[in-house]
Amino acid sequence: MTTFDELLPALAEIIHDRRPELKPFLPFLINRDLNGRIRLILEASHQPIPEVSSDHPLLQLAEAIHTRLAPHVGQSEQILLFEEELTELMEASSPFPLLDRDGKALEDVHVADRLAQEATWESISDKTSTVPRVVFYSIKGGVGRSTALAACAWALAESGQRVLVLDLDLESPGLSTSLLPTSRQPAYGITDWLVEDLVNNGDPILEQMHASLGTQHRGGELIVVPSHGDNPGEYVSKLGRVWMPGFTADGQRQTWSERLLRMIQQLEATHQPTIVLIDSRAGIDEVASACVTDLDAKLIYLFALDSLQTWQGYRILFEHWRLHDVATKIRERLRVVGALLPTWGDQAFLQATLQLRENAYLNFSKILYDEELAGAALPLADESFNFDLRDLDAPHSPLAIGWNQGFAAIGSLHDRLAASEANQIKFVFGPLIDNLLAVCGAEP
Amino acid sequence: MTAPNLPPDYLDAMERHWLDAEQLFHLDPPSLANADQLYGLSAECGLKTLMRKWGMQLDHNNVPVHPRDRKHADVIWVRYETYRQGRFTTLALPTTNPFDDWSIHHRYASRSYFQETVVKSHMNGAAEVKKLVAKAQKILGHLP
Repeated sequence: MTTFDELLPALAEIIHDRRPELKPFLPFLINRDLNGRIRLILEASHQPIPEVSSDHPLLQLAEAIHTRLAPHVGQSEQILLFEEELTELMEASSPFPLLDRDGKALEDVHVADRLAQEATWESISDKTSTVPRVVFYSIKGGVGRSTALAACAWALAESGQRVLVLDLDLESPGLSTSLLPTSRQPAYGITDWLVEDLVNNGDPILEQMHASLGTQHRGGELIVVPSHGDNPGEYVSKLGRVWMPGFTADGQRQTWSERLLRMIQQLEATHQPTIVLIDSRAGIDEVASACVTDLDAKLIYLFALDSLQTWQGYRILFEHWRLHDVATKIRERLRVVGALLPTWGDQAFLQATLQLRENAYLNFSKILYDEELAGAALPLADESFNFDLRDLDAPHSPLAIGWNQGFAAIGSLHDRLAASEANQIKFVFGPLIDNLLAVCGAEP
Repeated sequence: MTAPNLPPDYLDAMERHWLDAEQLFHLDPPSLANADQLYGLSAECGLKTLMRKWGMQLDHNNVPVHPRDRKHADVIWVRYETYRQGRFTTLALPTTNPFDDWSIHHRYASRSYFQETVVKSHMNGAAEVKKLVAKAQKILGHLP
């Protein structure tokens, strides 16, 4: 019996062992369909004629795959699929290299994965946005991510930045209620735009889905875009539709995350922010995937409690990026944020921060940093992506947030923020705020 | 005089090929050969309707842009299930391709080759596609 995790290593072995006789028929695209069944896609010109003898290398390959991978394949004659324009098909399939057991990529053999969701964690968008977008992400919930975002947004606005805040924790909304008084909640939210856009009715929503808060500092402004409006309405029914792909006026299909990106671009054009802060859903979730990988984020904060479960979760993601050959593209955008670090007792905060840094370093250096990045072409030595454990600017080096009674389980921040507790906010969230000011190009 | 260039309407074509195939199949005696061809064409048109919804590109005449998409039922069935992804996972075809032994080239073949059992399996395949299209219409509303 072969199970899912053994499919690709087994295929790598089969193809590797027969490489000399298969070479004339390369490239191969291995297709893993929605049910986890494998097909091997080849260029149409290689299709063996029906009368060909059974010792034809492709027929032998199909037989070997059938024997080894059942029940994850059909009959051997159904395993090979011949396509014209294979190169174009590959480009449209976002393929990733097939790695052998040593983590080395097999030349001219790629894998296309068909998933039931459209956001896939590995289609990392290019950083083309002119406004820095910063995503607040956590692998586990309940770590104070949204509170940190709200406090940072307020502090940045107070220091003169135009801050656009997007609540993309669609399945657990609430950021806007902590930032805005009830009377200031806008009529609509992101979910409304995503649903209305499906019937080309997004534009009127765009004007009524934000609330702006001025600050004492001239030029500073906090523009909050919530998940839903003042009245959530049929929120569950709307949420169940946000994932729909849409079609542009000229008939081009857009995935839901492409629609989301279009919405963000329109909001940016309208409000001209100097920085965009995005509250992402926690976990390995589809909305989170869109936030982390599809929105041209300049910086992705990985909120972390120093726990076994946290690092296990991040390892799954890091390994996925490595396997799909996109680790080099995303790793420079990542930054660990130490969350809810203990602040009681002598040296507890410092010790917890150092411990977190050590565990973060273990995972980053093993999977994402260059030394161990097996299978990918290493950059030149002087450009290698590697950091010392103690490097304060390294992705693994935590921006530390201490646990604070005043910000724990807080219902709404706006009263506290209005009470100008600037020093308190700076005290708790200082490292994060300074880091964000640097992203804006401002002096901390 | 040259024939006018009529753009494909896959949804309508699925329906008309199906209706005509059914008429031919239920004649006494049945016209199996032509019914068989039309069941295959009906399935092809139904699957192209769905594939368009999933992102198959068409030119301004509604013809698939890529030659790889300009295929008949025997190939399209397999391609549909192989490349299908995204939501609407209920819109699945049976794994076994009933049009494996169907070919567009059979339109030139003698009537003596067409057996009722084989044509019936193609009828069932076309019926599966019609059901799938109806389900998609229920879930997605209008199909392009």
